Amino acid sequence: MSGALERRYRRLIRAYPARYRADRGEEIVATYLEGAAPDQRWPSPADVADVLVAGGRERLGIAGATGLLPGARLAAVTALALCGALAVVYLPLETQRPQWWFTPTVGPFSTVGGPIWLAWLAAVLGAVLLPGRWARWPVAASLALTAAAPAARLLDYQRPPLLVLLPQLALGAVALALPAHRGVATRLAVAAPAALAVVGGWWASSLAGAYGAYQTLARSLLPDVAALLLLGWAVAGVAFLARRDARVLWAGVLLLPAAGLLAVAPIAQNPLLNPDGNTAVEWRRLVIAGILVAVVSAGAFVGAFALAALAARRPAPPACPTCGRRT
Amino acid sequence: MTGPMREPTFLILTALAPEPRYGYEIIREVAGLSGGRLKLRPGTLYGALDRLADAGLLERDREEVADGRLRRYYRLTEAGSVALTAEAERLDRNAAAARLGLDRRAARSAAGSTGRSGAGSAVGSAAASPRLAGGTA
Repeated sequence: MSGALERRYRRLIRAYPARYRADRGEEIVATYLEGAAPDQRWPSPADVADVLVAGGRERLGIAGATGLLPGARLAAVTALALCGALAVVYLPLETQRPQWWFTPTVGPFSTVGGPIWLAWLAAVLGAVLLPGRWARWPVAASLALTAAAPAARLLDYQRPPLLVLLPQLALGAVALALPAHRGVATRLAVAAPAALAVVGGWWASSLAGAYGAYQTLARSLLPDVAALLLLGWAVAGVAFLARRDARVLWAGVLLLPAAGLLAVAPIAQNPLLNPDGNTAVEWRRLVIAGILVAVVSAGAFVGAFALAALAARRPAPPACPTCGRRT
Repeated sequence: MTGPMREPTFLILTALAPEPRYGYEIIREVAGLSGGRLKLRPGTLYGALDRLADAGLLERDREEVADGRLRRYYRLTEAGSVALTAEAERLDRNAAAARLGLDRRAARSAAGSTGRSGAGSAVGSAAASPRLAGGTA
């Protein structure tokens, strides 16, 4: 009976990579068998889950990707700060309405963007004032509201253009990883860009029209925001990598989709996608640019993961020159 | 390793403090130290041992074969001993601060109930006095 149980545990530990099994397999099976009940014939469900999780971690090299979670927290603070700053810039546009505006308004706002931007400002306020993980709830609510914006058309309301909504969605998704423990510096870092963006909002309010003003911002301001984001990431990355701290690498990878979506309008105008130099909005080019952003972002994430796993790979223990066993 | 230690890490290092132990012994010792609350499974244990070895807090000691099964022993390193000592002192300080706070709370409760019983007697006699005073008149 113990023979059958041992065979089953040996089959179970195939969840581990081959190199790990060569080093630790005998030891792990022996430990399971020593803890097994005398009449036990099968690995328990808890043992199965334990091996699958531990083996999965070894295969994915989670131990090496130690910068991922801190990087996600850093990216979340940056993302929420940007969401708040952009909301401050967008909000004045919602109070402008051309005389020919014929669709229903949302209270004092031209489109459903008004409540959405207010929700993001409330999320920033929540990050400053609320304790621990509670601050993630306003972020989640704002994200849900932003994702639901396209459905406004079903009720005859207007929504901000996707050029503006999609980057906010990408930033908002990253902002969900807001750290539970936030010191004064982190809370200020979330709120400060929104406070400074009041200047940008004043400039945006000088743009005529509501929907048209959004399009102007998407082509002028948002790509500059993307460039600033990437520049800040590069500068911070040099400082952090000097200390072999992978946080900024991961933060940059997680913010890459948002940066790409912020810059999707000029990407769509790239001569490779737009050889005729056509300045008109063409959805086909924007969609292709969006797909390019998604593919590059996914590739960057996989590449960063592979690099981290390679860096963390433990060297195989030396083999005994006589018996060949590894100690 | 910076910051407070997680409980499983602390108990694994504690289990290794007196002598080298092998996997199942560590699991048994951790369960005993935690009063049965923490039951490490081998998959979780060996992941933790790998991380602690990478951090230089423990290392492999020796191997034996018992009943046809491999036993690999682990021992605490000097760095592990230092880290465990620092964490034990930190927990001691926290526990002492908690005990001091609770002692002060108990003292305040005792002082409060003594004061209330004194005031109650005064009120009782004041309430009795008018009746006595009315009776006298």
